[in-house]
Amino acid sequence: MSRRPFLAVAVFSLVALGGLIYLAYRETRPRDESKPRALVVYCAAALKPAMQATAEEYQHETGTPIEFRFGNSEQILAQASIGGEGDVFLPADDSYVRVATSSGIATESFPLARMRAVVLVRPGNPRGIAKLDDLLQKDLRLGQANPDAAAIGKVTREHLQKTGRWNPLHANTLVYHTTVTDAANAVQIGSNDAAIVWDAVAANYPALTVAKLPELAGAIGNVELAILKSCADPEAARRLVQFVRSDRGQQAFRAAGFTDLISP
Amino acid sequence: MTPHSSDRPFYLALTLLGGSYVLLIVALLVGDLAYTSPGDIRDALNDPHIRFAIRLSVLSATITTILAMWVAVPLGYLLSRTRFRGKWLVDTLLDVPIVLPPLVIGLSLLILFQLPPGRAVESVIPVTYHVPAVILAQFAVATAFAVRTMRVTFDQIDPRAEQVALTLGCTRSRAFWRVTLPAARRGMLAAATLAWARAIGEFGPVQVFAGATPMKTVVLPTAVFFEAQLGRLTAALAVSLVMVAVALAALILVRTVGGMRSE
Repeated sequence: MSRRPFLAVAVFSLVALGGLIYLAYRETRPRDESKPRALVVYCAAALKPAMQATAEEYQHETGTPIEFRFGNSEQILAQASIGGEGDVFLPADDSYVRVATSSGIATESFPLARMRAVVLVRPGNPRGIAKLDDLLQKDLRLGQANPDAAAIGKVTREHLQKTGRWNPLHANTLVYHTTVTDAANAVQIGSNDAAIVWDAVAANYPALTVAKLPELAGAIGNVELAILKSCADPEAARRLVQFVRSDRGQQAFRAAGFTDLISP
Repeated sequence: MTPHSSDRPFYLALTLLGGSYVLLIVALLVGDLAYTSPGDIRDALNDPHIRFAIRLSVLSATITTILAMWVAVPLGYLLSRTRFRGKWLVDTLLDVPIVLPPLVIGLSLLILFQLPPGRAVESVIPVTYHVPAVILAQFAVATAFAVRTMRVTFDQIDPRAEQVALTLGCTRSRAFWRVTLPAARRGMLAAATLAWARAIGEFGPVQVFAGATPMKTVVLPTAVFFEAQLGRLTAALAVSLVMVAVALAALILVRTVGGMRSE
């Protein structure tokens, strides 16, 4: 055999590799260096719409570009801890801000909103969930977020333990999910009848019904913004945080389902 | 070949057993199609963020596949045809990316690039949270599958043809290029296909190591995650179906070009 097809394939693959790398580079070409430095914001995926809308307005007004790193709260906490860069940290609830502060990666934090525990049920509330006892129905498929992994689970457990109502609820919980979104999605798909979620999360499911139980009235979680230790320009980060907490920022969060916003 | 009538129960049993899995895959896709609508799929295709994610996914998975094959062919050959000290260790290490949870691979890459050697690389070419991180995260996992496939491929090729070529005066290198590689063609195509499919579906390591910055490092699985996080399940499924369509189109193209169409 005189031809060398496989050598040709090997050479071609290298040429193709070069071309593809160029295409990938062109696709995500670095921005113009003369523009101001971007503020890097680690943001929980659940807060993406509100935060992106606010950031766009801020960017338009000040010219400061904002680069988001979205993910679930555990992931963005890990990235902010290990990655060693970034300016602002906005997880889905303040328990992650506490971890970031105690481990020294966040220097200051600012309250943004309060969330309340509610029960997300199938459209029209066919199981008639109105009080905690209704969640103890024998064949009810109840989902919760894991108290050791998600703030809603932790807050619900702590709140109900105070009144001695936790154990029966725990016994009647069919499944614990990793995140509050997984719990809500299971109700939407129909694999669960009910899930305990934040009111702000429930707002993302307009087709489902929300039941506010009196026994959960005191189960409250907070959303906080934190400035990271790795922030090179804390003043610029504080300006963004102030904008997010201003009336205009609050508007975007209201539109995303947050009803109880904390004014500076 | 027409099966003999007495073989029918045998073929029927095989069809039932194998068909159950094919049926499961079809049922999954039908379920997804029933949950979403053509409008959702159209919206997904018109969304510039999704279009970007499609381009980045296809580009990065293809780059990953070429890189993976450049590693998998030599490594598979060495593991199959040579004996060396510590071979069992190399063989075991190659399973690590397969057994490690995706989150751990992402975290490990993140940590690696914070250590002095990683930082040295970063000072030349930015990796963490940039497109090279997408490729490296995909490469870390997909290559392990390609190596396994290549090793089995070389194991199954009779070394005698290569030895005959050597006795006829070929060097080891010429015998490799002209005898062994042509015989390994189907295995190479299978390894490349597996690596590509694995790379395009990779989610955990990519999200942790490359972040999920819109229009920069968001690949299709990350786009699906975003939609699901906001409770938009129909949109999430629409993006997933777009991903399935893109992947199937690419795999069919490769198999057609590679002449591997099954009869």
